[in-house]
Amino acid sequence: MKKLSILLLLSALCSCGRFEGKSGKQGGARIVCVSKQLTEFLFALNQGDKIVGVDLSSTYPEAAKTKTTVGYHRHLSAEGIAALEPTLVVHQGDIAPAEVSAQLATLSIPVKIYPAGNGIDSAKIVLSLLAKELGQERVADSLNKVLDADLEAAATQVARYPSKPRVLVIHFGQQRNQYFVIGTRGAARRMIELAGGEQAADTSGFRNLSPEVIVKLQPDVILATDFGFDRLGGSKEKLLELPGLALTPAAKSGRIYRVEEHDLIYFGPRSGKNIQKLAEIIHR
Amino acid sequence: MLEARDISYKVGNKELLARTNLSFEGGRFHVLMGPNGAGKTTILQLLAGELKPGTGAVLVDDVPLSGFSALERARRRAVLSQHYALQFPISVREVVALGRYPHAGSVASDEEEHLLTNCLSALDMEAFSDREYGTLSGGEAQKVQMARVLAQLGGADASDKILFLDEPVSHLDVRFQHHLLRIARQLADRGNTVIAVLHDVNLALRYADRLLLMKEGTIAHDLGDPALLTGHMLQDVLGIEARILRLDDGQPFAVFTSVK
Amino acid sequence: MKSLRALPLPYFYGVLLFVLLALFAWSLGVGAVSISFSELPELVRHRLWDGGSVNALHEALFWEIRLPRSLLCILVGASLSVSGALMQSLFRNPIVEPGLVGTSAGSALGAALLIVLGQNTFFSGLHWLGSLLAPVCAFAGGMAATLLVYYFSASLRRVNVSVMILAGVAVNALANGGTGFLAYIARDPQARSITFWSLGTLSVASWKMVGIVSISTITGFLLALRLARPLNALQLGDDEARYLGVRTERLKFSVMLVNALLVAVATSMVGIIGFVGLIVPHVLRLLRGSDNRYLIAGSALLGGSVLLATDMVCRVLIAPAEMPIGIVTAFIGAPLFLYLLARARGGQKGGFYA
Repeated sequence: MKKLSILLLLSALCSCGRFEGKSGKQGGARIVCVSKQLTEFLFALNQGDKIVGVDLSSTYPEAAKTKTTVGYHRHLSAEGIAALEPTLVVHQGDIAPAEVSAQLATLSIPVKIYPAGNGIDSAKIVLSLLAKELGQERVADSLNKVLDADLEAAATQVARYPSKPRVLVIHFGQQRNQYFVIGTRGAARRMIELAGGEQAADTSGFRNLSPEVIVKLQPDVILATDFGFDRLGGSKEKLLELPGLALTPAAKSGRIYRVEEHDLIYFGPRSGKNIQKLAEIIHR
Repeated sequence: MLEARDISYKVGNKELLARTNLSFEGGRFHVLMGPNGAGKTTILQLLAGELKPGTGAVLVDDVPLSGFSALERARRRAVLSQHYALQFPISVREVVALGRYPHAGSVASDEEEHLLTNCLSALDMEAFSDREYGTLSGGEAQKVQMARVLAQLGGADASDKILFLDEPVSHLDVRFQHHLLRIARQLADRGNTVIAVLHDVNLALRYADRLLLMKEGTIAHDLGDPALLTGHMLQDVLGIEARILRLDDGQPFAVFTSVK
Repeated sequence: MKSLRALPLPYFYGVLLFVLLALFAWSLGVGAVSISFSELPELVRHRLWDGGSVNALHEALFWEIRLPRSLLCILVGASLSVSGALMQSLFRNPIVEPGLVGTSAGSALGAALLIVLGQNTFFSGLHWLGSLLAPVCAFAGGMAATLLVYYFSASLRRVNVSVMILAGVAVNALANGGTGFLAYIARDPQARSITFWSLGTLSVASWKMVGIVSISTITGFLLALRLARPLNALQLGDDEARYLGVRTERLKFSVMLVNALLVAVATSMVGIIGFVGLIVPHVLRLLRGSDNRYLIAGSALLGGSVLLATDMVCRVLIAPAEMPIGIVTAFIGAPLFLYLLARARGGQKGGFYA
């Protein structure tokens, strides 16, 4: 028992050398990105190869998932970030523990904090700011233009729909291990509105899923984000087993859909197209 | 000398001890007897300072008990009962050493060790010194506790101390009972005051200098010589028919004939 | 094991101290960033006497992150283990740890209150005071919970251990409920900090924390040592301890105060770390008996080592991300505890005795 545990410990402690190989000095920027929105932006600005580390929630694009992860953005370790030898750390002011920022400063690791881009305009601004930092203004401009065009197309598409379905978004909070209803604050509400729907939830933040609330809200459409949907077995029927869901109009008409979390909860260059897709789904 | 002046004790409205005056001289072995609930343990705890009397005071050499600090009290008297909470592994010697708590730093450490050894050997427990207390039999454990009490009093040759025994032998076999009470008797012979609560009348007759029979919170009979005990007194206090026989050596011996 | 038992006590402490220092030295080289051991003396020399040239990142990392972190590990481990020893002796029960009598949960509630109500309101300006506020709030919460348990059981005339444990369960539920409620009403980021804080992490270590925790640890340790002898007497039982001249009520109150000081200050810095306070005194007792003077001194030394070792695992297990230490202590502690339990079942002496 004792020997075994010592052995385990030793093997764990020996693995600490596994980052030595990465210290190759190719020069060039090495970015650690602790924000899913910024990660997507960096890839959109063709800077993906400069990213050496991302946080757990950065799942778009697919290539982001191959990057080393520095963990959950609210449970960071300064040393973990330092180990990736970044020339720049970017985040959106929502990292924790608070001490990490001070620690990164003592390690002289440059950190840039961008505002949260919860709306379309602010997302465009964040993209431009980031692009400026990396000398990619032209790319950003064209991305923003495409976004505007897509949004316009979405608006014309939405104008054709006669109805305005009430949409409820269910999200599985991995850190608190339970299902939430996404509230009116944040990007999801705006997305749904732009897609010609109306958010059914009437509370601001994330609220625990409760059968009473679900029944009260009577949503016409239910959207479940990817992780939570898949976790239940990846089918409508399984999702309906969550308390209260079966009693909604959405369940009766079968209008329950899976959406990618990263399509719904922040704005970015893809948002115009995502809204078009979303509009199509909720008006089916 | 230990003196109880006009003490009484109540819990709520229930009077556990009516107003009582008693004095206990050094060099004698006092035994309290009586049925359960007669107030034996109450009076013992009052005398030991564990309970505060509702009225009156307990005095040691004319000084009220409240005038002593907890440690001063502990240096003067020791109590052996039969309920011990020891949960953790602890050696016999360590248990005995706990008796030295109130005397910390008063003697050199080699002298201290010597004293512990003496206390253990007084109870024939020297060979058990390093044994784990939890592995002892009930009788052995109680002897270790007696050794601890002895250590608290300052060893087998202590004098001018007060020793309380609260039903110390009820669960022990005969050999252990006599061994323990013999030690207490020796302490009394050295001039210490011994006050014991005993259930076994014949043990009391054998070891006591004085018998106090209690009934319903009062001292019913106070006998300066155990030989004065009669079957009637026992019947009065215990509610059970009893006779006192004389053995060949003249020693009184109680037998209980029938239950009412 | 046998040879450790036979060793004279000072040598035994020597072994514990050696292990602690060895782990400390080792831990300085362990982390997501690999710093070789040959580099360590250079880093020290460069900072203190300004000689040679070193990797600037490594130097900052070593001085500002690794060193305070390892020191904090030792202090927190010692605090929790000494508390565990105190509480186990107070309750005469080997399953007791600060978590059981409400101290940890109360501290957590105190700190959570600060997180939810305090941080973004009028305290934010008081930066220097702000860092002392968390331990003060945690101490208030931990002490309040412990006192509630204490006075509740004391109100039944005398402090009774089984009542105290039951009261502890109730107060724990109350405090946890309070923390849960705060996490529920909190804005999301705050709720998440509460959740993570409840798992514990040492990655937040700074010199300031080392300073604050060292005060509580050293004070608490010295006070605990003074309580060791009366606590020994208390092992006989409350009545017997009083007959030996121990003022038991005062003793119990003091023990709870020291416990709250040690646990709350540590908890307010690094979050809730379970099992260390349970396991360390337990193992020490198996090794060489139950004298509290030994248990307290030994817990301080061994507790530091145990937390250092555990934290080293946290640092590298999923590096560069960081494992919450509460998870690791639970994963190592719980099986170890079950193993001890199983040993006792097998009839071996000194395993489990509750």
